[in-house]
Amino acid sequence: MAYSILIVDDSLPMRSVIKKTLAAAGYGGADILEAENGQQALEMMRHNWVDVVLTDYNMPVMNGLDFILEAKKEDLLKDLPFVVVSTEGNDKRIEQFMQSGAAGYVTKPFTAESIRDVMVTILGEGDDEEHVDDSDDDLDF
Amino acid sequence: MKNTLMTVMMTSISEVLETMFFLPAEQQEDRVLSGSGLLENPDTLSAELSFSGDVSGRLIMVVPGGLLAEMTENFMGESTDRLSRALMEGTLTELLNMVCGNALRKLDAGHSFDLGIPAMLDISSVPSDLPAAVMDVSDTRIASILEIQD
Repeated sequence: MAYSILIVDDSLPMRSVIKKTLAAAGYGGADILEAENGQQALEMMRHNWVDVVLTDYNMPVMNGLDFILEAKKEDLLKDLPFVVVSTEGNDKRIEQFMQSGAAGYVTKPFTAESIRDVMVTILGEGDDEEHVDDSDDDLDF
Repeated sequence: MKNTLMTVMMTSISEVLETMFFLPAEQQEDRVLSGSGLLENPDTLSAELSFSGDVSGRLIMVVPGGLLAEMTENFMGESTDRLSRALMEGTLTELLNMVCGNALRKLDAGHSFDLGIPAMLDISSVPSDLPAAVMDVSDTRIASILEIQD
């Protein structure tokens, strides 16, 4: 069964790069859902099956931290794993994310390996391992 | 502090351009933006990102449209003829976001910063009389202006 992965980022180019990176990391067979902010993502999660959420922090309308905190209040959503993918990388901020219930953290700019490592920790190996690219090409994002 | 921050920003621009956009960058001498030649290019785009904390201010980046198309192509893996202006603007604001985030992380861990939301900035609103850090990138140039609040 294909995983369902929700990408939450207000930047369309960044959502595309994360999708491409997920494919390079072995998750090319996953169903990808996209939202531009936390509020849109919450609405999407209430109506769609999601296995893992990759979310930015700095977003208009609802930022990544408020998004996770809101999701944790809802019985249907509170156990979902959230991975924060953000430029914000100081220790205090990361501690805030982890205390809010985030399952992982990836700093932008990121590599496919860093995305893959956190995804494998949460989901296990990708479901299209034949697409895992161990060469240097396409891995440095 | 401004000099330290600008040095870190320049290093960050080079790193992000090379890592995410596969483009090497070489810094020129600082000059005012009006002397960089960028403002004469009608396709030039600019964006700004504010930050606050121990030091507050904003970083403005000015990039010619042709280079931005190449950057977007490299970033997204899409051919240039499929790129919309929205995608190019999204690439510029994301560049700014990554540059600032990466730079502020490089500063001493004792400093605390919050990043704002990057936004496009009309080129006519860019302060052209302030010192700008100009970098050669892919046969053209980009400029960055760092404003620090007193």
